[in-house]
Amino acid sequence: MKYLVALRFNALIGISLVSIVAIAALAGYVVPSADPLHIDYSAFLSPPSPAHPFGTDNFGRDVLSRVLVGAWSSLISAFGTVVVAVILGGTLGAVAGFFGGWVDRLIGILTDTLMAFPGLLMALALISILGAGIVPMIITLGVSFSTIFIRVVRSLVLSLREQEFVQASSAMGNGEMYTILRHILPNCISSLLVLATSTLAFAILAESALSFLGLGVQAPNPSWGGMLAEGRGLMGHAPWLVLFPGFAIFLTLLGINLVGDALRDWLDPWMESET
Amino acid sequence: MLKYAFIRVLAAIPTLFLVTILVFFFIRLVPGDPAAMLVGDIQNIGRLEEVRSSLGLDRTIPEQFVIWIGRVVQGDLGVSMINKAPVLETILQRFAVTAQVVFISVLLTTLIAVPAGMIAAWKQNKPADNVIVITSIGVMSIPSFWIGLTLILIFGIKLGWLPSIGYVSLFEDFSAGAVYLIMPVIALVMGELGGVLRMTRASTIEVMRRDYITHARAKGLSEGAVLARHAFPNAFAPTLTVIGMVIGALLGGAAVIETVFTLPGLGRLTIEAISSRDYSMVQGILLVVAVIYVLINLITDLLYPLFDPRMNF
Amino acid sequence: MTEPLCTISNLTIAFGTMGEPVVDAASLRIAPGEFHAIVGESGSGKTMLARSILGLLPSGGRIVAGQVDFDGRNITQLSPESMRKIRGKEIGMIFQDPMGSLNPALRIGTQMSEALRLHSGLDRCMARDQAERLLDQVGIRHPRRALDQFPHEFSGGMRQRIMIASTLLPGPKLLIADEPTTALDTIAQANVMEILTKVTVESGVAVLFISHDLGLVAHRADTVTVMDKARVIEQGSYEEVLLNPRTEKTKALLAAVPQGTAKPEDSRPRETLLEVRSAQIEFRGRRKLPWLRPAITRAVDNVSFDLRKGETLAVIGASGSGKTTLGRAILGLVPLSAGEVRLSGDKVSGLGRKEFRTKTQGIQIVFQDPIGALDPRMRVLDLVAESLRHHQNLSRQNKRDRSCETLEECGLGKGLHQRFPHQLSGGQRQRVAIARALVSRPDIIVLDEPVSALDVTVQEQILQLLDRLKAQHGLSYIFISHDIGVVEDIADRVIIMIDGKIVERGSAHAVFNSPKHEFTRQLLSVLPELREVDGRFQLVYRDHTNPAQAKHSTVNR
Repeated sequence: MKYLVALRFNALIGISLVSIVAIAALAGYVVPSADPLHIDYSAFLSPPSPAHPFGTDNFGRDVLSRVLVGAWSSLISAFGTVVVAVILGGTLGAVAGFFGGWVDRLIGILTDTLMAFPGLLMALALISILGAGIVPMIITLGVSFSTIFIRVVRSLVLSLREQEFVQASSAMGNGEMYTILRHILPNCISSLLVLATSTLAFAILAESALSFLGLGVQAPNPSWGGMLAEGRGLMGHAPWLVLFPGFAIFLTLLGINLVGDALRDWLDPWMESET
Repeated sequence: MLKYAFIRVLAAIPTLFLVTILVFFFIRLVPGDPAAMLVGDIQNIGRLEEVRSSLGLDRTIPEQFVIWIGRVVQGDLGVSMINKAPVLETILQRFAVTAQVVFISVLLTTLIAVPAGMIAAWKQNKPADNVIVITSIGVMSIPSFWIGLTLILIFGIKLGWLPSIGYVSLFEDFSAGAVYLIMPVIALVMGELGGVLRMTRASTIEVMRRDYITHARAKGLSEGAVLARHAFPNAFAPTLTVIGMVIGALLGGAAVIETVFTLPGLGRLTIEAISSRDYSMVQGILLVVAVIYVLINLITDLLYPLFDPRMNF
Repeated sequence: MTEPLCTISNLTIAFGTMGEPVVDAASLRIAPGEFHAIVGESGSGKTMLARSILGLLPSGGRIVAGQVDFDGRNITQLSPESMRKIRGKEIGMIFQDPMGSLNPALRIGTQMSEALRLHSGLDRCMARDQAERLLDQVGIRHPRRALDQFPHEFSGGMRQRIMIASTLLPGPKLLIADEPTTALDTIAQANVMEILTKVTVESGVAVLFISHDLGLVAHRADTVTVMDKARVIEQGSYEEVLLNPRTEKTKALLAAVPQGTAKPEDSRPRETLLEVRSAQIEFRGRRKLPWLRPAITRAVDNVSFDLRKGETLAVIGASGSGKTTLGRAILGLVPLSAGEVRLSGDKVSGLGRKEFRTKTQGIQIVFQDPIGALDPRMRVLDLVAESLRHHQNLSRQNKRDRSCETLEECGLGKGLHQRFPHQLSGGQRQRVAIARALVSRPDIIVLDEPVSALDVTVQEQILQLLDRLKAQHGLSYIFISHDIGVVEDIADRVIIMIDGKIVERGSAHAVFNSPKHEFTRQLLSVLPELREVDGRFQLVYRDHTNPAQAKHSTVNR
């Protein structure tokens, strides 16, 4: 009982954090409180004050509004990444698991090969070809995260395919597509949801890392990672430059991880050992 | 055992082959003419042709691939397009730095995360478990480079206890090297701790439900013996795979931490190579990292039967 | 009466603070050397009762009231350390699933000597010697070599023997055996029971044996406790309880044990519905190396048989005998490598999926595991109606009405139609699966171990339902089972399979009364059977060692 209460409490905190970040991102996108690109030389590097609650940077830009707009680009690119990963990985994994044989082996070798290039390295290499920016970043991170989905969906489909209710569907004379859509897919969704949530957290982390390295969202557009990189050299004098963007990443990840954890307990307790 | 090892080694071959193909074609996807980039002067036709033929670019693609593979097998990954330094030598030099940080961090992570995860599983749903789980979620949510920056801000800049920039090899001067490694290692450990801990916890919970654990208790073994002798080997096997993947990912992807602490590691080299468009260096790094990753996977596979004898067919 | 070894008095166990008790004021006494059986269905609380003796309740479970006295002291109050001194040394425990109760990561010798060394302080060598001696006693060949092997290298029956040896090694006074043979096939079950009987008699250890099968414990039980819905409903000596049951539940448990009434020979000419001719099914194993030939297993080898209208054909075999594969091949779920299947004279094997299904609408299947066989995300009515998806001539409403009718015919009232499978009991789930097969009005239903996953009393109800449906709809059944006892009352003809081949076939009457193949005789001879004679139950064994004298003989206790 007590644990359930604690669990719900965690989930509640998670949901609130995620909602706050989402609303903030939306607010930053729709009604910027102050222009995040507005340069004000009279107020550069001013510490947090009522006029600039998070202070200003070395160009006098308002850190709060930059953090808010950064939320938007972070969330958009993370969602984009997860969508690419789910569609690409889910389809390949389902195909490999359901049809088996040489298709499965081919996809298997492809996955192993893609996995041999650690996510960040692959992203770096691909970005060096595609050029830096938000779209190349979404594509490269999506491709690199899709390997997890391929593996998980494949093993899910494999185990579901052996289940008697799937055999029963074939015994009724149902076609393969019908069986996949009616019986296999609905039974994968909860696991996919849990995996997608944790991937969302990883994607935000990867996005901020790439932007930190200057390979994601391009200056002067604000992003949390980019703000950390810019504030790095000045953090001795102006610690708010790294504290607030970092804190924003932390709260977002915390929210998503808490929600993911609650989802996992609720939907799919065996998931974690599978991935 | 030998047969198992043999099969595992063979199974890695198609992956390695595909890796080399991908890496080979990578450099051909790069916009622009590598020879022109190397020469830097597209007017100098004679020099261009000379460089083209020295790079083998005047041959057909399959020929180029065979030549390239031949060189790779001999350990010749070419020279940097920027400063003409031999690629493999540069990579290995930088890799040594990354390897020190990564192996120490992963070792520490394992030493902390595995016992903590097992204790959490053992005390499942009790306060100790809740504290460990919530802490791990918290730690997972802090980006390691932000931890790095915060550590530098506090211990490097404000307190001045630790050097915030620079690197000394452990093999040259152990105590000085150790001082430089403290903060990067802490940042990496905190970055990877959560994942390994949660994996250990999940697999231990799974194992603790098994009858052989109840049977071990029914024999009168103490809880410590049940955990260490019966739960650990079974719970550690899946965690081992995760640790292998973490090592692989960090060896190629510790770029951010290396940037934060200005460590002259492989990740830093990658960033430098990419920003200076040193594609022969990027290609070399991709190849080396992928090969290392495959090797680490192979080692994990070979270690697996130690913990799960059923795998040893 | 001798001083009891273990006394449980008014023990009540509950989960959580306000949960219903899973064991409600249970009491029992076990004398030294006594064999005490607790019999009940799953969920009756028998396992919880047994586990509470060792203080090994699953987390959340606790003793609310009552106590357990062992060897003169109350052990419910002991500290964890003192309890550990009793576990293994004084009281040993054997678990149901031999696959799960031996640690896969440790060698047999290490696991076996662990408890002995802990409790007696023997050195490694002496402990190994003793372990070897006990392995020899339970009939493990090459015991010295076995000590260095891992559990996965042994079959289920062998592992359970190892478990018995391992548990007896420290010389406990009481052995708790929690359904130790339930996960094994019939013959391994009988062998393990025999070994257990032998070694426990030799060592004089008292046994608390938990089972859902009254027939099984009749081998050796001195005293019996029957549990139902967390309560002890009957208790006493074997004779009192089994031979003269007082409660309805005990009678139901007894009735579920096979009655040994094979149907008489039926020689009326019948129309042949299904013909299987020289069916062969091969599976290609994984290539271990690309240039090696993959191992080919022949799951079904040259099998031919007919199914006639209105009859029940039983296909009996141990696990791995190919009987399930054969059943699936008839449905077209597994392709034949050679041979053919004919339905009413038309060849149906080897057809494309669509054509196959239009020709074989008349064959349906019911699977063994009712949990796995029903899509967990569909409601009962939808599950049944899905079977009518290919009946284009029916309207949506027609389909629903017919599904409703069929469900009610299978004993599932309207109140259950909108539930999900996990909200039903095992028996109800199997009724849904039967309704799903029945709703499209088939001629033939392949029943793949339809009652193996169910409690004995529920088994009986499902078998009765199947019998009734068969009579009402003129169905023919192919009844696949590993348990020859289950099919005895309902089969018209029997096929016995070993390693993909048919080794014996004939009318049920002939096979049960004068089995020809050694395997069939073995299967039948380990089948205890209760017979009602003048309103009293008697336990009988068949003696088929001499086929000429295939008569029943009352067991010699």
